[in-house]
Amino acid sequence: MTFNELTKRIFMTEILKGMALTLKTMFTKPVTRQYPEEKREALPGFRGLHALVRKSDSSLRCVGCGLCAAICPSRCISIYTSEGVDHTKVVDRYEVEVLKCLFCGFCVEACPFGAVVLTEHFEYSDYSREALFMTKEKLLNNWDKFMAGKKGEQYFEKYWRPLAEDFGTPENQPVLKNRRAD
Amino acid sequence: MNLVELTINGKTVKAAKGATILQAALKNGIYIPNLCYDRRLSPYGGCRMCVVEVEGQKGLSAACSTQIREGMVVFTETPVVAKSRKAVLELLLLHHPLDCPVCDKAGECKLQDMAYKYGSTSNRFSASRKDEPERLDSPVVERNPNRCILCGLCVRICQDHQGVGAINFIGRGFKTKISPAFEETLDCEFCGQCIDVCPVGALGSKTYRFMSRVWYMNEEEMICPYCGCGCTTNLSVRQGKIIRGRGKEGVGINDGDLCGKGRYGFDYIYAENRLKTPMIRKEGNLVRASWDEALKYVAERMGSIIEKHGPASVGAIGSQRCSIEDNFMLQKFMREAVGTDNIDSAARFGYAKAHKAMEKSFGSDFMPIGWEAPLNAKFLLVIESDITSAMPVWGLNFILARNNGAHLAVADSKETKLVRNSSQWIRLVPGTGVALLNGMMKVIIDEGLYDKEKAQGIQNFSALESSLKDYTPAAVSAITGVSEDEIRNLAREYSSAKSRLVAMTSGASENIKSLNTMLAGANLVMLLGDSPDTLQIPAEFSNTLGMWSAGVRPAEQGKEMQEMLYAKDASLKALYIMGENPIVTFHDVAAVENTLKGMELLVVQDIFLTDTAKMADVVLPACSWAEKDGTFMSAAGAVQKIRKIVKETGEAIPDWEIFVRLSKAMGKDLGLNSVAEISAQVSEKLSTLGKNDLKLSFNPAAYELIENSSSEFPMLLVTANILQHSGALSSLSRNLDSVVSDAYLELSPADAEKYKIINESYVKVISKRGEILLKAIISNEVPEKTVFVPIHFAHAKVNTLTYPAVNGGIPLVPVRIEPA
Repeated sequence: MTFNELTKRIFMTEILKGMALTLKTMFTKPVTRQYPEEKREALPGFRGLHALVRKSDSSLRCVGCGLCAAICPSRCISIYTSEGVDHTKVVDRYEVEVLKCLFCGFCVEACPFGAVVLTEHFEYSDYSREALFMTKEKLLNNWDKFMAGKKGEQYFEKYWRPLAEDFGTPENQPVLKNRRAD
Repeated sequence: MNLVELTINGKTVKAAKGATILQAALKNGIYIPNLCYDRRLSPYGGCRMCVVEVEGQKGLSAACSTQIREGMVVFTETPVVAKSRKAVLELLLLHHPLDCPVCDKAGECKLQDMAYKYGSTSNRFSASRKDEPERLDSPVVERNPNRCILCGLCVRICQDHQGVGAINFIGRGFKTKISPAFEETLDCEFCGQCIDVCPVGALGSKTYRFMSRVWYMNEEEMICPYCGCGCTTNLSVRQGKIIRGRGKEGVGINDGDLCGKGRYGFDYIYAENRLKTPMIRKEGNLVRASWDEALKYVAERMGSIIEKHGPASVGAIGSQRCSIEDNFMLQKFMREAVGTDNIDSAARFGYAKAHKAMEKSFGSDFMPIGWEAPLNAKFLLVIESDITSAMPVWGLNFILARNNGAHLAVADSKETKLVRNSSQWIRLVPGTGVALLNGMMKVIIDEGLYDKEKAQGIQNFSALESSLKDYTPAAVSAITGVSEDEIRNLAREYSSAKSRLVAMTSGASENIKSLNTMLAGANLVMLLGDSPDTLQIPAEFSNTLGMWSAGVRPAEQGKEMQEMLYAKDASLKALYIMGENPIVTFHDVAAVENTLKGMELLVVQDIFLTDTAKMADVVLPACSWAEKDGTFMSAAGAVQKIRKIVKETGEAIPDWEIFVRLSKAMGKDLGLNSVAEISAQVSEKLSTLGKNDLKLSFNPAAYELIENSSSEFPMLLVTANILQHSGALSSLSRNLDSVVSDAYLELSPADAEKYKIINESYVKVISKRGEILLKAIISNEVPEKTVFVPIHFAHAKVNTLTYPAVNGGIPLVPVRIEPA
């Protein structure tokens, strides 16, 4: 033990330094949030729990094209479709295994209709796996609960708008046989 | 073969002379995008996607229709080419709807792939899109004219390759679309070849509509369970369920060709009457039981019967649908554990005749067909067989041979598909094929057209010569209804052809041919000095040849099928039936039912609760073809593997395993416990096949009807195969039933008028064995005094009228028809 260390030990300099810092922070505002009493606003574009968009006529916007499932790196989405009574495509089941999901948001980007979205909701822990196995009904409920109304529209415009929406024939382009695309 | 050397993208490649740039490139692993090219069709040059730059040539050339030259320098991916392809795609996408999210083709769509690679993200043009209604009215095939890019592949494959011509271009200009005549509902043979060739989603499989997306599915190569062609069908499996089948270029002996059965027939394994547990008859009812219980019961009962009546009182029926391993184990179990030789199968009424004919004539024990044999002959003579419906994919080779310039003469009473695609139709009275062959031989011998040196050296030549005495052209003309000149000309043309082929089918359900027809065919072959493989008789079902070779037939003293099921004295006390439904598929149902009822023990091992299983004392559930490992031997003699691709149904186990367990329950270990062990023994057994020396001999074959028409029964009933079905198995496929689901009676308009029968009304068909009720269809394809009935459907009970025949006579059924 050197002389310097000995003096530090005798006069307890380290402790005094520490106490000084403690004394100083006692008069500043705390950074710790008292979660869950005190909740933080999600930042715009937050990627939380999945939801399926409900159209204005309360039906499902998803057509079951499966591009979300195709691009999903953790393969947590499975979609089952069938032929409906009027020979249209009907999405029977749309299932997300949330525990497998890594929230990359590729599904949202891949969707050609902006039908699958990630909401701002992130507090969904549970005691059973079943509760975190999202079925079509649960995903639609998520939409109603977390994204319906103005917020969904804003998100759509800002983040979920599919690229395909922006493509189209400009007005001043030549038209074949005087017919304009519908 | 002359090879031409050329350079594609800097790589020196060789290809056959006369090939196109596209063929040379694809063969050497260089992909050139194309939308209207198909390996089976002639160049079309419609889509202009395959344009390439050829050095020294102005402008771009279409690779699909430019022949290669020595020293040619080709570039397939240059900026000029890409620009041209982009423009083509822009024009295609002008009309093509971008409904990929709901289009089942998405993911394997050629147009989609190309648009992704070359296409632009916007279009310089605009035009209104087509707004035609989707056509979902026909079974199995759906059409969406809006997605069509008019490449014409479906039209050409249907007309040129399949020989049907059900669809064509309709309308002009922007309004052009693919449709049957007059935009009626599609009514074709529903092979689905058009669906496979469609590069976009304009033609689709209705059974697969919106079922899945392609990237969810695993594709498994499987051997088709139906006919003897042994085609490979690619089955798509999602979540342990097969949801579609398709053909794929370069896969299997069929090279991507499939008929409707191979493409849609897989769903019989999802039939509602699949057996899930063993069942034992208790107090008159079949009750569920455990495997141990059922096997113990069988072992005990069988043991006591053997003890009481001897092992010769036990019989077994094998299955042409089960794998070689299953059949091998059946015969091993019967021979070693039970000690009986009474083993036979439904092939007794079908392929056995062909085998007997080959054995008698050529001394051969194994005569598979040659898959390419039709293509190597210049004159093809088909005797009373619609090969295109019994062996649809092999049948395509006959059409191809005709298209390549061979002469295809079809002797048939009915206007079949093969007749429509033939060069010459010899319309004869049903069942008289043997007389026609004899008549031909008579002309050939009289005019000295035969190979004197070879033929006279063959045993029994003089017997043949004297047996043909009565078959003068005049006499044959009277029997067959074919004119004398036609018989003479046919004999002359056939004997003078460079290379020849005689083909016929050997279906158990066909009653217009018999052993004698096949013997006469063999005689004709030998008379002209041709090699035995000039006579082509395919085995009927997916594993008929394999079952036959595995030893499911009496070896020495064993009883054949007639003695087992049709003999009057009930010497058989126990019968073990594997994968066969005698009550439906065997002739003379009443006699069979009577015999089965008299059995002390009837064990049925099947995948369905069939009508026969309902009569059984014990029913054992087996795995279907997609639920077990094994091998099938096709009619061409190829041993091909089948694999377990889906989970077994309920408690079902593979047939071979049932025998392993059952023999153990009987206290006899057969010493084989896995597919691999059985396969090793089987391949040892099969390796001896076809090795024996040929010994030719003529067998005079006379024409005779077992039962002729009379005033009481003036019509002759012809039972036949139809294209969409195969045996009784396919009638359990929902997909195939959506095309044809019931038996019918085809009769000529003249007969309909005579018996006052209205089209699509019900008629009573009466023979001396019984009567059945069928829907009548008036058709020009059928000759007078004859009615045609497909045999496949259990509920129609057509076999109530028929009778078994394994010898030379033709077993046509005299019937009377009355409006019901």
